[in-house]
Amino acid sequence: MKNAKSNSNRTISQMELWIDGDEVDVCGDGKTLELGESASTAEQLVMNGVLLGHLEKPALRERRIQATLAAFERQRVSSNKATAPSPHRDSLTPHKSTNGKRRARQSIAVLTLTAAVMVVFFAWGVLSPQSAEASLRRVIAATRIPVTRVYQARIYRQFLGREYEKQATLYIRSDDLFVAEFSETTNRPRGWIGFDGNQRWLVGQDFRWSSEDESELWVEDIVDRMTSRSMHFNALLNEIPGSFELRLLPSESIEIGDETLACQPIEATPRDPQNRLEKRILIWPHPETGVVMEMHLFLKSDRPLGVRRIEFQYQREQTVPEGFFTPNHHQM
Amino acid sequence: MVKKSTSHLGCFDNTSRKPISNSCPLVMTDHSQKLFETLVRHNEVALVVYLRTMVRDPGLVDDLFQETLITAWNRFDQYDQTRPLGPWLRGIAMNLARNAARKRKRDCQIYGEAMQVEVEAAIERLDDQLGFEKSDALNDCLTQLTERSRELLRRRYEENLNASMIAECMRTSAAAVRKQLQRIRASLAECVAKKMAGSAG
Repeated sequence: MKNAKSNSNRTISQMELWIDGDEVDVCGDGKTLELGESASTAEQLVMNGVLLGHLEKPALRERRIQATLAAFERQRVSSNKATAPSPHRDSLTPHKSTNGKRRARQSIAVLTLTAAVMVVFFAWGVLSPQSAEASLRRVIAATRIPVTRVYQARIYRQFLGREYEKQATLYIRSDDLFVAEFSETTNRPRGWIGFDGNQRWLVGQDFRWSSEDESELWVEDIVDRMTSRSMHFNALLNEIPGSFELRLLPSESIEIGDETLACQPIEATPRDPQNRLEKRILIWPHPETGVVMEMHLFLKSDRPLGVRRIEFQYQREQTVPEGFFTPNHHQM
Repeated sequence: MVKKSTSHLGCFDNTSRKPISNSCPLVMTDHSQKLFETLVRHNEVALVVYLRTMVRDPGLVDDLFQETLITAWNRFDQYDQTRPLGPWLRGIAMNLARNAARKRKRDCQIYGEAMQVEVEAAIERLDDQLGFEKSDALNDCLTQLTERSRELLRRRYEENLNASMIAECMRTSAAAVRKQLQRIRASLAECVAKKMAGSAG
């Protein structure tokens, strides 16, 4: 009886972890896992599914239905094509002398087609957009945790064929707060840009500006040149599902501090390149938590010394003081 | 009398879940797209709930949903029309999920036969009680939860955060979050059952 109780506890614990956990791989080697016969375990699994469905956005449900209808339509069209009789007379009554040659040609064509289809299926399996979407959903969910994450940002500009690098430290929290601190260079003093949930702001040498101030377009231009929009990358991530095509790239190892992580990068390219500043986005999410470990933004720019690329690398989580995301907190 | 809402195709009776006629036109006709859409829409909620008892990755759930319904359509001649359609679809879904589990070896949780029977029974009970489409009872039960419980559910199911993430936000431990979620789900199941028993009586 005692054993039965401990088995039951272990079973429930596995089920709980499976439903609400993040790191469990209960399939092991693909063997069947017996979770026990408890009706309450089944009730939990089913209620979990019901709640996932009940609280799911209607748009996601409709997208699932539309994808299924589209797959059915594709199958229907290909099946109609395969069974449609050929209008060519020879295909119904092949001529003796040409039959062998035609068969050989047909065999080669079939083999080539089969190979092409296998390549397409292989590529589809490896680079499935469904999986990329699921992966991005985890990334976006991780941005919603109210903790401040610190990234090292490297901003690359180009002028007359040469590349210039500038560095900043980015503090980012949820999708509405960030501060980027630009280190001092030979040309420019230290400076900060940020967004406090209501206004964009800039703090420079003897200078403070926020978007609630009287319009000063030249300052806004400077803030834009300081890549304010790109630094606000949690907000950018939320825009990706609606306006970018996604695919997963093969896994690769990246180094974060002393740690080497195997991450599968997500590539996002804009559906309408005309209306996007970003030409391409690469995201390396943490394989377990979905937190962005590294991100590269490739940007359009037609200005001299315009920003062409920004690379973010995760550093740490950090507790910041109250008011940290407001301009008043920062000074030279 | 609990009203059953499981109509699967135009040629199925809403209450008995039996086909009206054995000569339903389930062949590739010009109307096949329309019939297939009916099949998809009428079974979407129950089938997705079932797939989610086995598969965590939402992308894989969508793939298996699509594959299950297309496989069902292609094998409709094997379907015994004297029996309800739901369990037959779930059988196909289970086999496809097993194959996916063998290939992916992760993000899946395939249980044995005994557990499958329990899940089937729980799905049938809920299908009877909720009709899946009729979620007034569930809505009522959700409003009876405490603010904190609703907050937990919102973070878990709307924001799709896992227990560790929620624990970080709510300054508690992941184990405590998992336990609370487990209690909330159990109380919701009980509440829905009571409401439906009350309305049936």
